[in-house]
This record gives sequence, structure tokens and C-alpha cells, in this order.
Amino acid sequence: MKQGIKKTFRTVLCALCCALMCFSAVACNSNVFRFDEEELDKVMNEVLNTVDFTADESYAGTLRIVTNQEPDQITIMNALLGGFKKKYPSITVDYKNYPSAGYKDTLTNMNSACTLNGKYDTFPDVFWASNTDVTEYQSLDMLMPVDYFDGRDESFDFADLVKIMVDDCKVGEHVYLMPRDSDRMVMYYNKDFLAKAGVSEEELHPDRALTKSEFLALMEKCKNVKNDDGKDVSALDAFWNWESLLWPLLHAYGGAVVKEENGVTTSALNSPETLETYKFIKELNNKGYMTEGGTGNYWRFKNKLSVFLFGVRATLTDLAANVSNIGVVPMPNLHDDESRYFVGTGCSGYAMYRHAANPTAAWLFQKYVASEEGQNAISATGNNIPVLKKLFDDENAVWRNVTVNGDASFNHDAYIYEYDTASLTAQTGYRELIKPITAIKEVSKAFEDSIKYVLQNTTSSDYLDEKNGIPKFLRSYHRDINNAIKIASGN
Amino acid sequence: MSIGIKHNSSKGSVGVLSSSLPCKIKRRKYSKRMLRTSLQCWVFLIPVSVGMVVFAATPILMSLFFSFTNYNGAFISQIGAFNFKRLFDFSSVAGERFLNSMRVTFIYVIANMAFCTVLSYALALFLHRKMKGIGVVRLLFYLPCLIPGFISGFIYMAIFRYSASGTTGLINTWLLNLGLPQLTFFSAKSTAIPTLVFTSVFGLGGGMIMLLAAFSNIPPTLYEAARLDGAGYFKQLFHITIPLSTPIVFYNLVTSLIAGLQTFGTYAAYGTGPEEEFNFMAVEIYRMAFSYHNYGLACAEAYLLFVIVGLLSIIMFKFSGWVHYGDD
Repeated sequence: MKQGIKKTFRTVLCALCCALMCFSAVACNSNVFRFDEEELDKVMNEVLNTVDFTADESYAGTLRIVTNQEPDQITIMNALLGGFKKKYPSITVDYKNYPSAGYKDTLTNMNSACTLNGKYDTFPDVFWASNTDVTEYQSLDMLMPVDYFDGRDESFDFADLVKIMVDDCKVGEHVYLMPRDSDRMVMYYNKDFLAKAGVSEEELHPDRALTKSEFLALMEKCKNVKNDDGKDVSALDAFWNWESLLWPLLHAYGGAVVKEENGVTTSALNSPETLETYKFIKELNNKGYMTEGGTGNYWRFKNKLSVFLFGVRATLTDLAANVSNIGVVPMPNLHDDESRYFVGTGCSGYAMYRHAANPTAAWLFQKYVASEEGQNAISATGNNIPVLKKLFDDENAVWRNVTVNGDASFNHDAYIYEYDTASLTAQTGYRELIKPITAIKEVSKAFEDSIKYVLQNTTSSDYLDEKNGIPKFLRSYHRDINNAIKIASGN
Repeated sequence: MSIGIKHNSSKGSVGVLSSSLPCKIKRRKYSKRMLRTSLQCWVFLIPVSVGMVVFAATPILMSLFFSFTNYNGAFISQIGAFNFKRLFDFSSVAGERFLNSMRVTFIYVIANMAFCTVLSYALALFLHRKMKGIGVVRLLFYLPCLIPGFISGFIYMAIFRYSASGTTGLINTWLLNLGLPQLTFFSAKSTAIPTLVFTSVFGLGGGMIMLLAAFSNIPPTLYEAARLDGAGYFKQLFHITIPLSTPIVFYNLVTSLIAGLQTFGTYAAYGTGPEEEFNFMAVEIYRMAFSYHNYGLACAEAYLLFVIVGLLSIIMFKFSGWVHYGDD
């Protein structure tokens, strides 16, 4: 009897294991996938046929939106939804925010579950995404190519938006993200500290970018400022460990992170140009203008421990809340050659889920984000440079009329100085070259880590040393980038 | 048709029945009773069984299946043993990196096990005294164990921070104030693992508590007898305390081996460390899955880790002759 039960139990267990294995295999095998352009056209035709392009303000439906839990994200979404709900009162919006830590993983895991189950209606129709995440999401077929909608909808045209931002949201030929803004690096300054250093605001030339020599002279003048508590204040807070800041400078010096030859991508980090770039940054440190690589979240500037900050518009309200007397000028040119002036530019936006259950409502929301009303609604939060090009020079546009701590003459023009010629996104000349795209995350990490370790681990005496200085780190991260590409390529 | 009596058919069917019919009735009654009892058992077992099948067996089998695919979190386009082939091909970058992650993991596990076992034992011996306020001291040593790993990681970063030209951590600030050179701690390949092992000092309380419990279970009569026989502190230690606490030492070794091989918490605070020195196996699996979206390869790596953990655990049990259990 006992033997019989054991045997039965064993048989049942084996059968169960086999059944589960088969279930796993069948569940996943149904998703063997790769679209080529022709197939994508077909699939998108089917999707577009389900979308009501004649939908107007009376359209009734539901829409599920997700962002992360950053206070700025929630504020902006609430501002957008305020206007959107007024315009489309019959659309029921279910807005949720997921924890910022692991936000991306939460979405990709949800997508995996949806794909395994073949049921997509539990996934939000629209979700916030950064431009740097577009390729990753796209590789998992999570994003709807919204340029197809543009082709069908006569009331919308991507040509109305800032081109470089639209390009920033592309993977290959298609646009996968509706850009929300067109953010850009600028140089903020603490007016009180500037006065303490004996520098007038006119010396900063608010209407143009400082040249390299002017910038260095300014740093020299501001390096010995003390705050009200008698603590030393550094001249500059710049978070170099951030590709939006580092990449344009490297590009200005003629360097590159990766290069493509005969269709093969390899690292280009270990080059004399990169050495020159890193040398310049390290020397800012050696001369006492900044401590190490600056701080993430602009900690030094916000705590009144630096005179200047290389920052972006997206954090303006946060900075202004901490530094009452804040000013802004265009990003200085950190290269001797005036023609080598590049400024880090980027955006985030709202992606439509590839299998969105409510594509019409999702498209109406996407259009609203890029509309004049939507852009002005976001701009009212204070942290937005619009992506709608006509608002750049519109004196009545909300973003230009934002007052910062009561300062009505805040230099908003600094954010769009030489926009068309000097803007450089991480996509252009860098991320777009990385193939396969699954290597992007690790390549980007290696690139950002390289300057972090250079600034942290080299001294003013050995930073040019072959064995312990910048060359050592460049060799190391050059190898890491190549390895990342090789692993992603299946090596 | 069952005619005749099968005495040996089962233990329950007693062979005193003279005809087949009553035997059948008896059996049926017996089976019904058995069935009713079994059914009750199964009803109680269902919630757990369903939980095990859904939350344990299914993921285990699915990940086994994924390890033979190129699953990227959404799609599969290839099925085969290529992931394992890649991992065992040490000339490939993936294989080389996995081998390196094994190397750093083993170095860390061995160093950590040796360091923690010896120190937690010494600490437990030190705190196994009847003194005023000893409870408070024990509590203080145990408190750091209550801090989540990734939080303590950030604390250690602040303490051991090295910077050639910027803000240094607590210890390096002291060293600089004393006119001594800074130590690189987590920032250089040569000092990263030793520093990480050193931070285990703050987690000694966990092992210590177990050992204190083991010491308390040693009958005091053994010490009295030893003392009467003239045994000193060290004789008592080596002939009573250590042998009788070996089950807990063994338990600590096995659990720290398994935990060490699955070290992952370091990733939040230190990333992969200087020159990938903290790229432990679990970290490598995570990166493969969530950075490269190569879940297939990550599952293959996870299965290799599973086999390694299993083999090492078996080896440890095989060589556990030095452990003295109560009945020995």
C-alpha cells in the first residue's frame, strides 16, 4: 500500500512537472516575434483601424495613465489632467503613480506578464518615459509608434514640434514617445554669492554664452567665497557623472563614446580627445573650482555651497525653493573654438502602450500633451520649456511669464540660446550608434562611471599618469564598453 | 472478478475471511474510510499545495525553460542549450564575466565566512558572562543586524568614502587630521573586498545570538565536573564549549555560505565596485536580466548558481563529521 502511494505520488509529480514545463513552453512559444517594416505597417494598420480619428470633445471612454512618484511628475500630470478633463469631460481618467525606484522594472515586468498571458488590458494606456529609456522599452515591443497616428490625424503634425526632441524620441525611423518638453543645460547662479565675489551680473553676459577663458576667469574670482555660516563655497556644482552634461563636452572636444565601422560598434572612449576632455574637467577640480564631480540632485547648490550650477529647467522650482536669489545664463562654451559650442538637450514624455486597450483616448491625451493648451498647462508648473516650437518666441507663452521668487525679469531666453545650432542630445552621435540597443544601458553606465572614478580616484599630481591617472580609467572603461556591446551581441 | 482470498494484498485486509463477498464488502468499507481520511488531509493540503505549485514549482520550471531560450522579457525566438554553452565558453565575454563573478563571489564568501565565524565566536564567548548590563551590550551588538542591508551599505559608504581630491568619509577624515595618508577602501580593486568583509563586523550580532543560545544549552554540570577535575578555562573551552556548540557553528557556516553565494545587497550601495570587484554572481544575474534584458542567459546563470549552492551544501554536510550532536 505504502509503496503504491509512493509510486502514485511520484507519477503524479512527474506528470505535473511535465505539464508545467509544457505550459511554460507553450505560453512563451506563442510569442516568437520580430517585426520587419512591412509587418509593422500591417500591424499598425490594424491598430489604426480601431482608433477613432474623428473623436472630439464629446468622446466618451476611459484612459489609464501611469507616472513615477517624483513630486514633479505628479505636479505636471495633475496640471495636464486638469486641462485634459475639462476638454474631454466624458473620458474617465485613472491616473496612478508607481514608486520611482524600480519604476522601469515594474513596467517591463508588467509587460512580460501581459505578453505571457496574452492579455494586455491590465497595462496602462499611457505611461511616462524618459528619452533614455525609449530604446529599451521599444526592444520589448512596449511602445506604439505614434508617427503612424500623425499620418492619419490631420489635426496633428510632428513638424510643429521641436525637431531635435522628436528625433530624440525615435528608434530607427519611428517616433515612440510624445515629447513633453525640450529641456536644456544652463548655468544657474546664486546672486548673493556673486555679489560677495565682487562680480556683477553684467559680467556674466546674460544674452550670450561665456567663452572658455571668461568662464575660467569667473571661476577664479568666485572660488574663495564663504557663505553666511563662514563655510567655504565652491565656485561650481556640476554633476559630470551625467551624460547630458558630459557627452556635449566630449563631443565639443572631438571625442566619442562609441564608433561604428562596417556596421560594427566598438568603444571610442580611449582616445586623446577623451583624455583632453577629462583633463579639462579634472583641472576644474585641481584648481579648486569644484569639489569632485559635483553632486546629484544639486545638493551643493541647493544648500548654498556653490556659486554656480550646471543644471536644467526641470529642477527650477526645486532650486528656487532653496536659493531665493537665483539667476540663469546660457551654458558657457567650455571649448576654445566658438564653433564647438554644444549644449546638452533632452526630453521626457508620454508613451502609448503598444497594446493600449484604449488607443483613441490615449491618442487624444498624446495630442493634448503636445498642444498649446497642454504645453501651457505644463509650463505653469514652472519647470517646462515647451516642445511646441511656436511657443519659443511667443511673448505671451506661459513658460516665458513664469516669475521665479518674484523676479519677473528672469532670463528665460538662456534656455533656448542658440537652440537650433548648439543643442545636442545623447541620441545624436552616441546612443544611436550603439548596436544592439540592449547594450545601451551598460555602455551609458560605463561612460558615466568613467568620469566619476577619474574625479574620485585621481589626484592633482597623478591625474595624467599612465598607470594611475586618467589613461588607466579610460582603458578600463573602454574595455567595459566593448564587453557590454559584445555581451549584447551574443558573445 | 476477484475470487479467493489474497492474504498479502495489504496489511489491512486480515486473512480470516472465508469467502470473497464479505471480503469485498470489508475492503470497500476500508477504502471508503481511507478515502475519507485522505480526502480530509488533501483538503487541508490544497491551499499549501496550490501555493507551492503556483509560486514555487511554476517559476522554477519556467526559469528552467527560459534558460534554454533567448527570452528577453517579452519574446522568444530561439530555443536550445546555447546559454549554457556560452557560459562554459570562457573565451566568450559572457563566460569570462560569469567566471570572474564566480571568482569574486568565492573570495568574498571564504573571507567572510572565516572572518565572521571566528569573530562572532569570540564575541559570543566574551558576552557569555554574568555581568551587570551585559544584556544591554548584547543588544548593542545585535542592533546593527536590524538595519536593512542596503541602508547599512549607504552608511558604510559614508564612513569609508575615499576621494583623492574631494569630500572624504569619516575614517579618511580622521586619518587626514592625523597627518596620515587616506585609505582607498571601496574605491580600489585591491582594498574593495577586504573593506566589504570588514563591514561584516557590524553584522556579527546575528551569529553571536545563535552561539549564545548554544552556550546556554550546555549543561553546567559538565563545567562543574571539569573544574573538579582541575580543567582550566582553555581546557573547558576546547573540550566542552567548542565541541558542544559545533552544531550552531555548522548551521552558521551553512547559512552564511548560502547567503554569501547569493550576495546582492551590495549592488544598491556600491554598484559593481572598482573594476567589477563587486560583480557577484547574483549581481551578474540581475544585470544580465535587467540591463541587457537577456532573461534566458540570466536564468541559465541562476541555475548554475543553484547547482553550485547545492553542491557546496552537500559537500559541507558530507564533511560534517566534526559536528557533535547531542546524541553522539
